[in-house]
Amino acid sequence: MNAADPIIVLTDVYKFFGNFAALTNVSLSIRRGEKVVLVGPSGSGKSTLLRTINRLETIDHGAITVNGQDIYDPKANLNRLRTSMGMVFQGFNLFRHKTALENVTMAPCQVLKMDPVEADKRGLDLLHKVGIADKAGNYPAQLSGGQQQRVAIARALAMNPDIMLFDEPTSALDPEVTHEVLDVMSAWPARA
Amino acid sequence: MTLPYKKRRLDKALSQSAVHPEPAIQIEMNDGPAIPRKTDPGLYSAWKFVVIAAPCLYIYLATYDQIAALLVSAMPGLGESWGWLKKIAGPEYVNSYRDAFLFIMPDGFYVTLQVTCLGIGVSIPVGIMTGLCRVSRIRIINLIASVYVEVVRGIPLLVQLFYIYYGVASIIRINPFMAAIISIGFCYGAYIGEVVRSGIEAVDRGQREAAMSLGFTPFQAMRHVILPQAIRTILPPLGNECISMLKDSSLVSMVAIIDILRRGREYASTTFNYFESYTMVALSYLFITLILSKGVSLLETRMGRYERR
Repeated sequence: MNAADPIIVLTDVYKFFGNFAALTNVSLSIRRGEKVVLVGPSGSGKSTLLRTINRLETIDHGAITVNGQDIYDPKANLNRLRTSMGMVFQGFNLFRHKTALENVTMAPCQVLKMDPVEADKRGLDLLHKVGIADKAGNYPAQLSGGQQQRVAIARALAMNPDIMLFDEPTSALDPEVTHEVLDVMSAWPARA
Repeated sequence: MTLPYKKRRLDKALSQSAVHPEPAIQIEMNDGPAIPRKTDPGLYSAWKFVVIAAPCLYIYLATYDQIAALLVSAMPGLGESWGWLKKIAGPEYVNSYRDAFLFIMPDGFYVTLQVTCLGIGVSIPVGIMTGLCRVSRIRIINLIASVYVEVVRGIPLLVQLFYIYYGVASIIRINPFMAAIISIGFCYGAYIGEVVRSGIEAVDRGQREAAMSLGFTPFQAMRHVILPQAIRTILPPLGNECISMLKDSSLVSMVAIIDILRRGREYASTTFNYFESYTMVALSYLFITLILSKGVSLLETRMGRYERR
């Protein structure tokens, strides 16, 4: 695939919650390596749009293509597709019964069947990159919001995704620690 | 990808803007035994009082004639001035409380605990299966589990017990003990199923979404992310169900199983010491449930430690 080809294409996407139209006629195309920021008031459908790309929400009309594959094709391997998309949530959503390191290594071990030792090594490496390797053994409840979000970013990166989806990663954080997360995000090589 | 019915829905939705209805406030009610939590000071001090008073009363009733005998032998003058004390301490005096206790004690306790443990052994696997089926998106599985829960919860345990012991056993041979275990196990399986379901539903939706976004299959997400977290919330109410089961196991005395209550009834009907006999029966159950409810509250504290920030 050519680097200039769009990696995510949305055409005429509609999404409803009951009778409330969350997305109306959204079309969008993002190229590999591009960083796109969605801005809008709350309730304008930014999160919904991101979630439809990951198929956490289904759409009612239109089409979404990721890496050249229609994700609403019933034959699409959704789990494989999702491994190529990392998502970071507004509310972190770390696995609360696992330590920071286990949070990062769990998906590679379970989904990619990676060797646990190697996964640990990679996990520590990732935690080091986001600057919290010393908290590897802590449970999410023992970490601050900014630290939790950085673990969440490391967790998403552990799957080596082509696409990273950030759903308001700093909105649940104090303004003082927002920069921790933003630094990590901007330091990462440019991807979608 | 334009589908006609979706187009219609789209037009309709665009023409009107509806506000999401607020979910009704729900109050969690629990019919389980009272768990002595530190956040409920009244109940906590009541538990402390009862946990000391009940065993003391229990031991006192079982041994008061021996205590009297000890007193009289230690201080002979006491027996002379208090005739009643001498009478109690005398060799011809019969302590019906101790007799009832000794009559209940070895096998009654054993059978009650055995019925409870086997009932737990049956009902927990049944309950977990039911709970998983109840959260299933496959309608037919969900329907079967829901019907089971509704039917079982709508019939009193005693009726279920009779139904299996007299009704079903008249068609196929089941020994009384098996009948009791099956009816208790499947009755509590339905209740535990609901506990498991609410535990699974109590796990934050984001946990599942995070797992899905990492490429977990629904089964992996359930097995590695949701169930381990649900078990923490489930354990205390599960303990409650076990205590309830211990109390309800007294119902099996109705079908020729010799548990605590049955032994008590046998003693009472042979000696006519109803008061003494049932006092000891009641204290026996109280004694076991007090210990178990403390166990559940300890479990709650242990489980809660990881949850709080």
